[in-house]
Amino acid sequence: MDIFTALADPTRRHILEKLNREGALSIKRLTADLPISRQALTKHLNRLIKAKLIRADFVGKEKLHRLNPKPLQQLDNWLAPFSERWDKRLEALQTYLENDDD
Amino acid sequence: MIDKLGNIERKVNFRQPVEKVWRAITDAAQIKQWFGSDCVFEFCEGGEGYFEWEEECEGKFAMKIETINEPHYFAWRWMLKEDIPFDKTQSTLVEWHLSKTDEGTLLRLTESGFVDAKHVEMNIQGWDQELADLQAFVN
Repeated sequence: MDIFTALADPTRRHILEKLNREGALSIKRLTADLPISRQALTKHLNRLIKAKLIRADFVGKEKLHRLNPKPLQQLDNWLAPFSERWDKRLEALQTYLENDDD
Repeated sequence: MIDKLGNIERKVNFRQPVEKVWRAITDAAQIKQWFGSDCVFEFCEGGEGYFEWEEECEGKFAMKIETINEPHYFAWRWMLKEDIPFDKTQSTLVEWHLSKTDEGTLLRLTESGFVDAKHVEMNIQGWDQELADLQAFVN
């Protein structure tokens, strides 16, 4: 699965946001605030692992999941032109307001 | 700046008061002075319209207003592609937050929803192309 498909699901985005905020988490900690079963969560985690967006490592007996933000660069690259367009528009707004000063 | 999950955010300061900036971003007649070549919409929540950039591309980008909270918050959705009717699932959300500062006004602009709207479609198109190429290659 590629990064765009991986990110298109709101549950998977929630998982990534949570890992980004809270660091490495076990399945138990991840299910705590998600209205889905452990099985469903495992499925989502496996998809995120395939998309290389998270990594899972055993720490002792506990399996911990952590964010791997590197592939998100692809998303940044794709969004860059949309993002840069706003710079021009907001500059134009500033100029418009300056010239309209009365 | 683009945050990790694909939202665009910009902050700009203006020397003008909030009310003046508010008018510049909500009044269609003023918007077309700086935003595009044309802008038409019905100014109410749920009101629809379009933006146009004659020089950059032909076609109209359909939009729909979501929230008007004068003079601090204005939100609308628009399509990522021109000349298709408004469809929420294929749109991104643009939010304008205005707040008063000592010097004038701070605008925080965000655009979000790229992941829902465009990426999926792009991905599907990508696979269609790749599979067609594969088919051509194999045959």
